[in-house]
Amino acid sequence: MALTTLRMKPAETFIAYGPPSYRESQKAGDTEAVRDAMERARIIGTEAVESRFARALASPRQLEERMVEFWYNHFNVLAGKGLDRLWIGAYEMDAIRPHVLGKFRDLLGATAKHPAMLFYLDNWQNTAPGTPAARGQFTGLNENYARELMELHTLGVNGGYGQDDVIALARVLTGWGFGGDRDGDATPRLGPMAQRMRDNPNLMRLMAHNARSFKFNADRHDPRDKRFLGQTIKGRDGDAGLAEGEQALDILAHHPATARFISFKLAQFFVADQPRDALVAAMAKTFESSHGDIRAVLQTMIHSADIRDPANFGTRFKTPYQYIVSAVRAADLPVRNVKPLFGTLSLLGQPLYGCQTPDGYKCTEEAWLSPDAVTRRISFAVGLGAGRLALGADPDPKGLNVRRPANAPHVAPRAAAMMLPPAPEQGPAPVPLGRVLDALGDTLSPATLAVVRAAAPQLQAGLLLGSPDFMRC
Amino acid sequence: MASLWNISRRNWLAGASAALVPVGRRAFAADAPEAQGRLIVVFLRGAVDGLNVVVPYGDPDYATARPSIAVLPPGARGGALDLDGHFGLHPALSSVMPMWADKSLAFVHASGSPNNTRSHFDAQDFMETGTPGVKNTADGWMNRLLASLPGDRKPTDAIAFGATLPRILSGPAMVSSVPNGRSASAEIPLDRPVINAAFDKLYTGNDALARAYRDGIAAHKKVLADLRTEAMEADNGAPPPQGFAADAEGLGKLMRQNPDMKLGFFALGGWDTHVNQGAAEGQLAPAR
Repeated sequence: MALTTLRMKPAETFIAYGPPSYRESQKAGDTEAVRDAMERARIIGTEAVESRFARALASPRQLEERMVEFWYNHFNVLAGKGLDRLWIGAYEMDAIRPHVLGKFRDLLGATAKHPAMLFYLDNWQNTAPGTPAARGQFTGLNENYARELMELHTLGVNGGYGQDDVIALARVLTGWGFGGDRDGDATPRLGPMAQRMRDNPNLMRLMAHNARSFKFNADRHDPRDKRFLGQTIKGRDGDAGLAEGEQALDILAHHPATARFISFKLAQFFVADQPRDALVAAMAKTFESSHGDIRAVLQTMIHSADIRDPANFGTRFKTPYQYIVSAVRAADLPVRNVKPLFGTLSLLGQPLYGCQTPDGYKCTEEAWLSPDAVTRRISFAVGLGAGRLALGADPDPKGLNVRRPANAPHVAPRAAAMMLPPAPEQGPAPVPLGRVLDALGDTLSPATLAVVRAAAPQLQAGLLLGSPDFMRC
Repeated sequence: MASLWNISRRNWLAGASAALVPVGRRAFAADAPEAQGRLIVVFLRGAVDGLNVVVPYGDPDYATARPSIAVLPPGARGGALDLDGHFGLHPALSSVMPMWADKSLAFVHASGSPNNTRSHFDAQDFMETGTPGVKNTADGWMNRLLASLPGDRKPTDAIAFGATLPRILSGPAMVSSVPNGRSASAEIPLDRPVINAAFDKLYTGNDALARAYRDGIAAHKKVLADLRTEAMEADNGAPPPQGFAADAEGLGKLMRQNPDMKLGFFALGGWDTHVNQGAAEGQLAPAR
């Protein structure tokens, strides 16, 4: 896997894979060009999924990978929303991964300024009414990002802010957008040039160099003073207006409600659906004293008694993602073709990069345990254990439909066929039981082990991976 | 992938009569469970242009506002099919006219979300959550509806067709999903007695996980058995048809077999037709 699109900047992917201009496609008199561009852009989602699975399955730094799952959900962006199909890969690589164990303020800032987030939650259109650039798509205040920034990313819904604060923060963030090739030109207007640029690598490089991913558009910014969470943010003219947003992010990142909210979510993700208040309080204290050092907060959690408490340890119902990844890791099969994994995740209701709501996928038992979920996990486990998932096959050259995973009805029949165990006389090699046992150590109950050992060899690994013991972590 | 959407839309038009019958005949009534009311929602994703489906040809502003894409009045070549002297139906929908004639079909026009977002994405989200303007609603209105129905909940009370559970039905109340097309009746490993027996031994407890396992197998077997019985009776073993018409037929069978089934859901893409929509023969019309 070369995964070249992951290293491209948002402006580069826009030029290379973005939509042709509306005018040109109209002139050509067909919508084929639009469709072609959509098809071509599938490589970005495909490579993002391949990269995610490759690291999740093979990285020796598994805590980091768990944290990527956690933070991507926390700062969720949907591949299926418009231009975000071009940017999810770069978003994870540039905004999420570098900071998953770093400082919360850095993570917050990186997501706030990434075009993927600016587009997903509409802040790129957030414009102070009456400013010189308030026209067309940029007509007024858009509170979407400001609201989610407090409700979902920092303070939490009960974090002690009101609608006045939402409006103040939206005003602070007016003008936070992404830049195109010319000043005042939003990236979507790059369209007319895209087609010509695409075939000219030199021009493309030049343009990508000049294009700034994040851009503060001072002519859309509200320069007046704001009253935000009881503090005054001094309004600033021109490019200095950017500092207001930085100040607001500082306030949010260091707010006690943020420390509690993030600590609660981390404890819920790692320890228990309903973590003890005392644990959350201890983690929040570390969060505050370390100025949002995520690594330090995790250390407090890992050294707590809660995480080893038998009432918690090994009792959390895995999310579909955790289930799939842990099962393939335990089976220790080489993976070249991620399609069966991507398809199964979609079947299980957790398509990668496919969470529609900005709050990301939940991690609780209530969200994921259902009759359907258990039988489908078992189908996957039996197929995986029998070695029938074609994980070693050549990847489909057409890539994955990450943009609309829920509308890929043809995933189902193939997946179902693949999951049937092989005929006894021939077929793919089943995963040896010993290999899975080595991976799982002493996390299995004697009752489960007895049932597994009594089964036919080609079913043993599947039984183990589909057992109640393995559904939890 | 884009072509799939058009195919599914065309199939819908071809099989429209199968899809619309249950909606018109039996309106759902929450306060009268004994009436066995059912609700089937068919979501046409992509923002259908209602003014070119149910055409207000009698309104002089209609033709004026749409100089190039207005569907012509009844009588003209490619004109609308008259409904009531003021409204007409897009000519491609001629197959549902008999239902209009026998009064089992109705249209609720110009009804939509009060939220004026221009994002199709947000707009359809709001349609599914039932909370226009609020993006964080986690569950769908059909799931909330299901939870509020009287009586005990069974796994097959609500059925969604498709690979994943749609937003509109997601939530705490239990919902079964049935894969599209042929795979609806596809075998899963747990259908094999040896595999089923082994897993039964692993899930013997009375905890939430073991209960979910048993409910899941029961729901799967019921759906499978119903589909197969009907298929054998109706088709004499012929392979089932595919596409939306087939799924609609499948849901109809399941509902006949299960008197308890209350809610059904389909989504059908391909309605984002505002580019080159045309009048009688553009994108909105099916291929001929």
